[in-house]
Amino acid sequence: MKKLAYILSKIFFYCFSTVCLFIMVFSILSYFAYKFDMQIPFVEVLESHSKVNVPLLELRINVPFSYSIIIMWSAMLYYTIYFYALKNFFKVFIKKNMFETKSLKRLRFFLKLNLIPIIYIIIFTVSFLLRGDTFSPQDDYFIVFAHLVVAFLIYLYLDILKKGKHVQEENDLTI
Amino acid sequence: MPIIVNLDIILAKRKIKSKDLAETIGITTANLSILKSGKAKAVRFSTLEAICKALDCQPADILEYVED
Repeated sequence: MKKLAYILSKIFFYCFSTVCLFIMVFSILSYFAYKFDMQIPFVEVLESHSKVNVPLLELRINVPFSYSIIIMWSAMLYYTIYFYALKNFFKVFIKKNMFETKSLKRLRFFLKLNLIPIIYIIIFTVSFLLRGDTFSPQDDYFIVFAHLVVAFLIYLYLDILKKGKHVQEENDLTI
Repeated sequence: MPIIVNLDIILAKRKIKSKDLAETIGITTANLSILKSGKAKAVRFSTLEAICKALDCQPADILEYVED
């Protein structure tokens, strides 16, 4: 079961990173298509934005020709790293000796990754409040809440792993 | 740690090499080295028994308590 979770997370990471890379490359190309009036496959140039069609998945991603694309790229980059860390998180549990410093580092990294969305939501909320715009952040708050729950669970796992590592060290030094 | 391991002294007195002792009592030389250097966290009674048997000594000859 643990191995299956690891394999699935590995497959998911590779699929997700491939799609993200495809979108990133074609969103750059779509800008060239817009500026120089070029024909690029999988790209549909509209007035203020373009659409990148991801083959096989039938996804149509809106690519704006503004700085807001950086937010989109950052989100894609964040989730690519996130799923890489998730893959490594499952790897910890299939290892023969899970109470290692490397495992602790992997879990700490995954914990930190789950805390990043809080910074994002604070900046997002403050910027909207300062501008006085109306916004409905329910979806974003839900995602941040989900990340916080995961972070809490990882924190508990981390504590168990720390204690396990201590016991393991004592056991290794018992002659 | 206030517990001192005097295994080196006993080995020198008996003129026995660490490698030979490790082979006799059935532990690795690396583990014997940990024990001699005082890095070990605990010693099993079975290991202590084997050392005492091999070196013909008492546990007190190997382990010593020294106030910090």
